[in-house]
Amino acid sequence: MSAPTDGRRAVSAVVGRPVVFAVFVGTLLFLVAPVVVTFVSSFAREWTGAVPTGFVTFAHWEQVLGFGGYEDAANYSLRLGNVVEALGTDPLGALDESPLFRSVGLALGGVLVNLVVGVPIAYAVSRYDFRGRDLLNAVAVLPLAPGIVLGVAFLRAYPQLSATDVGLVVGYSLLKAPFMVLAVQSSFEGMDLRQLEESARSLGASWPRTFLFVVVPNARRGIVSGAVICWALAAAEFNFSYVVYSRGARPLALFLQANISNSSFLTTSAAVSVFFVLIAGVTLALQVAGNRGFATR
Amino acid sequence: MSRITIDDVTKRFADTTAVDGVTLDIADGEILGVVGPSGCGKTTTLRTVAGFETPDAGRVLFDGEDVTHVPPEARNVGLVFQSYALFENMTVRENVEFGPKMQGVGADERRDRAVGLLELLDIAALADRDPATLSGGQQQRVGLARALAIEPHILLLDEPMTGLDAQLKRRLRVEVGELLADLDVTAMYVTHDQTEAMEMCDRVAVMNDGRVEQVGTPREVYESPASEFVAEFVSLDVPEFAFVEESATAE
Repeated sequence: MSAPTDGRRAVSAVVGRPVVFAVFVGTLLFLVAPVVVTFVSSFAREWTGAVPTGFVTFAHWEQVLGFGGYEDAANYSLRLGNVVEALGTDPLGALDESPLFRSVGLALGGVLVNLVVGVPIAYAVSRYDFRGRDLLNAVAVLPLAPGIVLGVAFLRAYPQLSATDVGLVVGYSLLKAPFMVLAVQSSFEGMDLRQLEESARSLGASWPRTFLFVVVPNARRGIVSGAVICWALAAAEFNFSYVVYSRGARPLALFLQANISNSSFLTTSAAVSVFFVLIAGVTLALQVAGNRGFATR
Repeated sequence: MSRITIDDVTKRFADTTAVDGVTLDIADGEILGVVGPSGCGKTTTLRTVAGFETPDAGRVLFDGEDVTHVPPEARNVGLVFQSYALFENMTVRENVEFGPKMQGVGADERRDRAVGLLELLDIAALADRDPATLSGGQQQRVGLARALAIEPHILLLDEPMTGLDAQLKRRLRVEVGELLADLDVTAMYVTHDQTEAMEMCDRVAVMNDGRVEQVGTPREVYESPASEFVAEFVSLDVPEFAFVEESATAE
């Protein structure tokens, strides 16, 4: 190597590693600290001084999850009792009772729409060369436009959808479609789609079976990560929900916003923590499902 | 077994003619090598036989039966690719069982076939492995086993050894050559490596610019090339001893 022979080393060799390491750790702490502080403080009774005190209480979590009588800004009372009772008789209505469940459900709806529409688009764009390919690709990625822009446009174009769950689901799927399409597309582009398909066809699989048994399972990592990203972003989408929502339990983002302005920070911490836990759980579950393979094994 | 007839096939893409009036007859059980520089139309010819390209003119016949418009999944043609194209969502065994499964073969029979083929190709120990963890040579064996699992009458090989290192290539050439000779299949072996074709195939077709320049036994093509192109193409580093050996055993 070209290192000087008199025992001195280049400055970058001496300083490089520690500096990179310090920057990395610093950034990590900066980003993780809010999550940790929020999570920990959601179990505190009080936070009036510099640090939260009075550990451990589950009161905030209970409130947020609906165990305790809970009043949000719109005086919409949420009780787990109602939810549980309704689950037996009217499951969909039960979901309507809780902002959390409702957001989870609506976001899941958006993901389903994206799976059905986004995966084939990603496939077509990476597999075939056709007229309008670039246009289709551009259209699929266009909704990177902010939710508020899309929301307003949506209300103008489809006033009849404005106050409905369908409107929210369609909007979420549209808004988050780029994340699905891009994730799946990168997965497709990493493999030799044509030869994979042709192998399957020559082995006697019709095109639909080839798509279902070979193409989709081979892209499962992209599909899973696309679904996780889509779902998480849709569940927490504020702008679009704010414009389109009008009745029923508020989507989570609106619920949180209302609570931040109207109740204690600690309760909000609990609501945010529930969301963290949910996202971590869903991500893990989908990863496991993805690694096991969900179609052919 | 099956005879393959490629009858005056022409295939154009946009403004280029990839295959230009190719006529080839591959006899029952014969191994025909198709060689030529890249872009000469050899792969397009193979894809036409497999059913992935529909010729603009001409016909493809199996045993005298016109299959030009039969979809690939109904042709029962085994296909081996350069990139192996193994299904990474399945184990080695599942890869091999995929074809029979698609054809509706029962589970026991599928398993028997897979076990038999994996043994034949000397990869029985890899049955439960994930294809991504195998070496190139092992993957190509799996690809071959998978293609043979549908018990095809016709086997098409598209540059199956191009990605492998020289030593492995030499060994596989002998093995695969013997295997093809033992199995009752008619094979079309596409390669840009004329040495490979000459060692493994009963006859060789030399293609250039979408046309067949010459068809003949390796010896004929090597000793009396029909055109300057053929002469130049086949004379590139063909080891002469291959023919010496062959003629020694023939006499």
